[in-house]
Amino acid sequence: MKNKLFIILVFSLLFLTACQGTKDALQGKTRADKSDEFLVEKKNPLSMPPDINELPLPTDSNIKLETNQDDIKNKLKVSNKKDINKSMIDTNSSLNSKVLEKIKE
Amino acid sequence: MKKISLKKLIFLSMILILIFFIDRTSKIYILNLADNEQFLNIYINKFLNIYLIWNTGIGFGLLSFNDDLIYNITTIIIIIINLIIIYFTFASDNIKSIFFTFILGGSLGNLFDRLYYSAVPDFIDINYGGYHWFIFNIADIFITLGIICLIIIELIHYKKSDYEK
Repeated sequence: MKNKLFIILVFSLLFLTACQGTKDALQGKTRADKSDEFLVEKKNPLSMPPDINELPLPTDSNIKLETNQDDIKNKLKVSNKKDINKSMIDTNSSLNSKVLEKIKE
Repeated sequence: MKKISLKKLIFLSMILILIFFIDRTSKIYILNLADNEQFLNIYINKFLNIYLIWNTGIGFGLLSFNDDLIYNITTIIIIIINLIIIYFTFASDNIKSIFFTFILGGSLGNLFDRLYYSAVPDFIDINYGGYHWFIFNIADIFITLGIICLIIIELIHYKKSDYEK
């Protein structure tokens, strides 16, 4: 009788109770830890915004700015080249004069 | 089986109804709080939270599968255990029968949920220092209380009989 009673009590504890949360209890997780760090949130597919036609059209100011900048760059390149040539000529003339002086001596 | 007096039967029935009523009231209150979202997480104090989860299995989260066959077999086993508990309630003496009624009252509360909602709502979350005990309900308290008291009574009887020998 006693053994039967104990078996019934153990079965009652297992089957009649309805407590849950074994994983959390064993792992000692807090409620705050429960967020899924590997969850990939679904995002809506890319689509055109509904008010895209209401956006202002691009003006010519940007284009002019770009062309101006290009002009400056080109001019700088040209001026650089001119400087290099001038310096080359200067060095050549100085060398010539020096040679001539030596000969005269 | 011992013959049970009408007075005792009424007394035990009242205990049974009272436990069933307390359990049902608590569950209905919690489910109303949770509304239709089926999710509830209320901080009461450092050691107690109200956190609603649904248990489709048995105690300690066992047999919680999404399989109807296992669920139905488990429910049949629970009904059989309830019938055995009813037998023990009538067969036992006064004190024991009260504790068997405790078990029966809680068990009927959980069985009602299994049949009505196809799951048992658990909501009492006791924790200390980040460690959580199993989430349980009022019915579980009465079942566990009844079982513990019956084990203590049996142990006392066992010691007494051992001492007399």
